[in-house]
Amino acid sequence: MRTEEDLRAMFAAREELAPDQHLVLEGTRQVVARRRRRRTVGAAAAAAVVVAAALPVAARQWSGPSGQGTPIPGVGAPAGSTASSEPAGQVPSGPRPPFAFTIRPSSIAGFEIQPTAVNPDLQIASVRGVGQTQTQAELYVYRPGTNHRAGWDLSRDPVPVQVNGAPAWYSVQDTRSAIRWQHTPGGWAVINTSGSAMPKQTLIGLAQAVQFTTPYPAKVPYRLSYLPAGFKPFQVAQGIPGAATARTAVQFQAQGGNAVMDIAVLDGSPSGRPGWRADLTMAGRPAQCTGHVDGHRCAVDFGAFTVDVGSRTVPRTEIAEVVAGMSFADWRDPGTWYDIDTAIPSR
Amino acid sequence: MTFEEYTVLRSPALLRYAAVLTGDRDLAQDIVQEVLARVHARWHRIARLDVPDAYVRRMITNEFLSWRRGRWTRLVPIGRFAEDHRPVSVAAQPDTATVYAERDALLSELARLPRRQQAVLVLRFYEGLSDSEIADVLGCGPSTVRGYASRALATLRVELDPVDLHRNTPALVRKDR
Repeated sequence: MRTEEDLRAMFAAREELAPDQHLVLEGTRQVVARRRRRRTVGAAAAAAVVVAAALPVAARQWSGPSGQGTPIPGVGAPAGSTASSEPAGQVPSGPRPPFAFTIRPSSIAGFEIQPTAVNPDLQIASVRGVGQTQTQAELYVYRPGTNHRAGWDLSRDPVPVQVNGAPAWYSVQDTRSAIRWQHTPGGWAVINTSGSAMPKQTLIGLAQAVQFTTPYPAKVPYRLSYLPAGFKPFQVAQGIPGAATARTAVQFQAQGGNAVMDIAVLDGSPSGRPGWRADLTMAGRPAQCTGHVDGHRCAVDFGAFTVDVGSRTVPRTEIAEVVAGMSFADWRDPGTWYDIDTAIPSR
Repeated sequence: MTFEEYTVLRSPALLRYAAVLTGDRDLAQDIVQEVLARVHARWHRIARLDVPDAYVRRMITNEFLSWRRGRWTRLVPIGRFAEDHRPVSVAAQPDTATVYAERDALLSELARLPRRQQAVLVLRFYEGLSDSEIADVLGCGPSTVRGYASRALATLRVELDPVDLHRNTPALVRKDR
């Protein structure tokens, strides 16, 4: 039996997870400012009065000492935009399907932008140097009006800049840097570096060169014929061929998010990996299931690739059924992969 | 006290509470940010309360209880991917390994409890509130709190002194061994 002391020790250990106070207070300031702005904009729209010039004032009403608060942009029409189709930085109008990208894969000034993950609210792309495998930054493009965390700025005093004529902010801290801008009214995009900070002009150049196109679906290298009852995808991560972490994963949820499952395909066989000990078979292939703090995970060796399924609630027997019902495209040729809409049954 | 003074003074404790309650740094940040933004909107009323902390803590607890799992905030696969299926590196240190394994198991079981039961345990064993204070936070009766606690402790197989199980006052003194 466990004791009360065990419980207390566990809770005490969890204290280490407490977020940074300054980050949270800065984030709170931004949430407050955004809501104030939203209310102001709503009132303005109702009155058909343009109040963009007044918004920064409203946004700063709770922004701490002078100069400490994050400047909040107005929401007027982005300067410099024209009616031409899909200019750089402009998202095509119309709804985006939940698991489709609008970020255009492209090469820009020595960098490659490759979409990697998508869900109904957010698209993520990796930014890598041409020919490199390591990601140097990540691009996040949020659906307009999405309510989400505001902790984008890395410092308390981000530098106001412009991206394609729209307000933007550059911030840097230690080895990281970030730029955020409004790609469309109410919709934010962020580029966060990972590894080392990028100069302001480099990030501005990258942000300005981000291009959008008509929606195209995320792709996965398999089709499922069986999915546990109630599960629907909520996020798709699309592997990048040649990247250091070539993996594709679809996350599913059921019961309002209380049950989750993910199915991933990883490059290579698990047989050479430390700790691999195939002690069962799934779909006639060597497999290993491992217990974790938050559920269990089963890895199945398909030779050139590994199928990895994790869940807290789906039993191993049902995971085996999922794996047995998978049919595969050519893992090495993303051109053969399936659109997510056809890969997942009963959506 | 202004809202700014309150947040500077009290946010560390609120953040620790949120972290213990959620067991997730990002979620704790999201919840506290959301709650503080709402507190800011009604600060003129909250500031007049005798114990603003209790009110704010209740807001954090309720936010946790009603928080819908973010659909997009992060890609967190269950456990780890197969490439991380490695032997536990601390196997050479059996005592440490055992401690962490047991704590992991307890964390895992705690996370599977209904959120209200989780909240009762945190409020009782971390915050040191009495059953009536917990009932006030959760908006239910003390007997309901005791029911939650009993079920949660039984599920987690935690053994308490009988006096602890139905206490009405905080019992933060460590038990003699």
